[in-house]
Amino acid sequence: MLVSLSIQRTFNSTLFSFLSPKLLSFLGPRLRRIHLVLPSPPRCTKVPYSAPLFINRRASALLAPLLHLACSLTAFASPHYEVERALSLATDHKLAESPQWRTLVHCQSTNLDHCSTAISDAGFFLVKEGVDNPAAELEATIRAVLVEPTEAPLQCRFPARFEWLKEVLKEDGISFPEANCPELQEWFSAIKPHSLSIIFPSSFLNNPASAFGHTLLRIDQPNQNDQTRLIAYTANFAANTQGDNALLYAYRGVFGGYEGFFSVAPYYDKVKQYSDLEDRDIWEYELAFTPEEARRLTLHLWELRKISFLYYYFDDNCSYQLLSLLEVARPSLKLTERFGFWVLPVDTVRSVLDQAGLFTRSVFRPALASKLSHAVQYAGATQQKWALAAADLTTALDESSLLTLSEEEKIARLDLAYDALTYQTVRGKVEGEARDARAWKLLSLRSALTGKALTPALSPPTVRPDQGHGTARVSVGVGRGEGRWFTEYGIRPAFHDQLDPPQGYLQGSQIKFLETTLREEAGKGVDLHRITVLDIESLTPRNDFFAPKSWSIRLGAERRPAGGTRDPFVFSLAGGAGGSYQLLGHSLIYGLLEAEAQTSSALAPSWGVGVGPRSGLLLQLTESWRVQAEGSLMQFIAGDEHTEISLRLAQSVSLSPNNALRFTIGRTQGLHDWETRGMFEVLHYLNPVGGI
Amino acid sequence: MKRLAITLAITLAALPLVASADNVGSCGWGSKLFSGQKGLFPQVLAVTTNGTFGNQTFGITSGTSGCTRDGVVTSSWASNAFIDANMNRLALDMSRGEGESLQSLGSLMQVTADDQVAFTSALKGNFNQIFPTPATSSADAIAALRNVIQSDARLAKYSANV
Repeated sequence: MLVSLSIQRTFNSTLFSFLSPKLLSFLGPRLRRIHLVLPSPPRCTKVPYSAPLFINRRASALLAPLLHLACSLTAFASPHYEVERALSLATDHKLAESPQWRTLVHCQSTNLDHCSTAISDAGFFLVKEGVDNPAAELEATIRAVLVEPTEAPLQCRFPARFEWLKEVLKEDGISFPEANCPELQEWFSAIKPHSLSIIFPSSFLNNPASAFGHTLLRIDQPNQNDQTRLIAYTANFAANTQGDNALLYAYRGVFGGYEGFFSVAPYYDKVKQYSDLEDRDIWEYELAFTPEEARRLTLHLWELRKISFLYYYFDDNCSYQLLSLLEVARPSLKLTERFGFWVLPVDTVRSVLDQAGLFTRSVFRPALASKLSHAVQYAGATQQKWALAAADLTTALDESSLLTLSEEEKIARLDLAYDALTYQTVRGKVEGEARDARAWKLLSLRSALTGKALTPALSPPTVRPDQGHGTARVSVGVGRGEGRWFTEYGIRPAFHDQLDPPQGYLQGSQIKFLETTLREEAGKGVDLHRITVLDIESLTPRNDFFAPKSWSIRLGAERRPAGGTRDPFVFSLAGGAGGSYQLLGHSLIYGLLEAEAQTSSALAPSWGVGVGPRSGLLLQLTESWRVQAEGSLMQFIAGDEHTEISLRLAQSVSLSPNNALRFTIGRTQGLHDWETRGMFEVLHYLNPVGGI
Repeated sequence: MKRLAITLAITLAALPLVASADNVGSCGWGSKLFSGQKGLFPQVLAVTTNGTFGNQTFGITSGTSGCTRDGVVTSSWASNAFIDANMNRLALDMSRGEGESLQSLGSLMQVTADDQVAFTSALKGNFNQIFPTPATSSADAIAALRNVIQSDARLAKYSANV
């Protein structure tokens, strides 16, 4: 055991420190052929009848009553006797193997003797071995709560462990000393746990940390209603990135180096951050947890104060750790073990909603921009004009034209103007005393009006994020190019592109991650054809009220025809910015100016840097039929000077939420000559939940 | 002048009530606890957070850290901390006479369901008193709100809850 432990230690700490704990737990048992955790022998320190050191479980169970007797003869009423009795009961009941205990010590492994944990903080464990040995930690916990009353009693430090132990050993007559924990009491009574909700702020492309969305937990209070949810508390897991820049964040986020922490904050603070500042719609999923379960989770949250976790962007992230909290609330839930090497927030929502009877209802909380664009739709031209002028600080507020209007009309204009001004403030377009004065004036005028706004409330989208297409995609396609037939096999672990079914996803957003395509041609065998490491595109429509930038960034490699027998890879990094406008319905027209850097053996010299426009139309013709027409020109002006032109028409038809057909024709002039290509693809979307 | 004198008298009378309630750490009147010192429209709004994953450790919440412990607002300051953290949302909802921030404040002040409508309309009707200028600080807004509640026969019983 010592050997295996030391292997595990080395394995964990040095050689493979870049691997995530989940991968380690997958490899771990395969490296450790012999790994035994001996049951803690019942010990009775003050009597000569202490159990043999290596006693097997069955024997210990048989001996236990005898030992109790022996102990009680010589040391009855001694706390040590109670400790030994409790320990032997713990062994009898196999408490260290129970899901309740294993979730409380964040033991992630299906191997009953062993744990791997994402907790990197030694302060969470009472003994060093507790990190990977739940039995040792249990023994230490029992000893600590039963033996000595200290100034900082363990009951106050680990209330969830304590309550559970008290409960499971109650019937055996073990009574644990109670402790007075005023700080915990005050904290707990402010949170008032009654039930739980998962809060899902949708994608926020402008911050890579939340590009795939985010989840946090809301601890709902008794007597809470739809109008008082703001004052409930939330539990949020996030990495402490110490203000690192995006590159360092990406590196450390993926390969390790960050510590994650749970934090507690009022929900109104979170709404302000996500809804008002970051313009993200929020979905609230209310779950059917009982008050006792919510209580257990909250007590455990107290145990996790200031405790650091290993943080990995793709798996040990915010969403994964929330699942581990829900497992503490209800240990029979098996949420975390369903995930493989990456965990997307929306998939964790799905895995929770999949549990029978757990989902109660959802509530949609539109972001400021969503509310404003909804109001703009209902506003007439004169209302819009007045509101825009009122939100424009360079012109005086036109109060006089309000005088003759009906109350409803005044309300419509003032509300629209205030929302537009707030939006501009949030975007950093306006600030200062003049802005404050204008905002205050609009509210003051509004407070004198007693009517209600006539604009109907914004109704939630018909498809929730969890009902959108699966986050992973596989595809098979048949096509023809350069006079040859080919077959393509594609796999994309995440997430969404412009032609995928848009329901449940952010309009105009695209994140392709590790999209890999193999191509098979007659007589050539199967070749890696294209790999897109990352491709993010944000096409947010502009209008008189909104002026967001559209932007793109992509990194990848593709084989391109260059005249030789075998197509060489061209590695490319490109990005740009521009604007897009909404057409009728959900259709967009967009234009970007992009720059690109390439490197390839087909170039002379082996690199090129270019700049050029890309523009297109994205049409949503019906719920299930989308068309994209796009043209681009890239003029390489340094290195290998050449011109690339591409014209593409693609359309996609959804057959069901998770199946679609796609037909693409394109004509490109690249390194070689004009090439025309057409392809027909069948796409299937799936949830990576269930193990990959 | 007379009105000012009354307002002042009521405010002074109410102060010890609150001040004696709970003075945890730096949380209390006179200490620099409220971010709303910056006014009705705190500049925090203009800052886009690039820190979803910023420096979040347990217990750090915006604005009210003086009144919080391990992320939770000290109970006797809950309504004041709420006002402080939600100044512009409250101002908006008060001007419109509806909205969840008013309901949430009512809940924190233990306003009963029967009195909530009266509470909401009292705040709407006195918008200019609670927020007399664009630069009204949260401490001033809280004091003025307390006056409004106190001078309303039906709501006076809640004035100690803020």
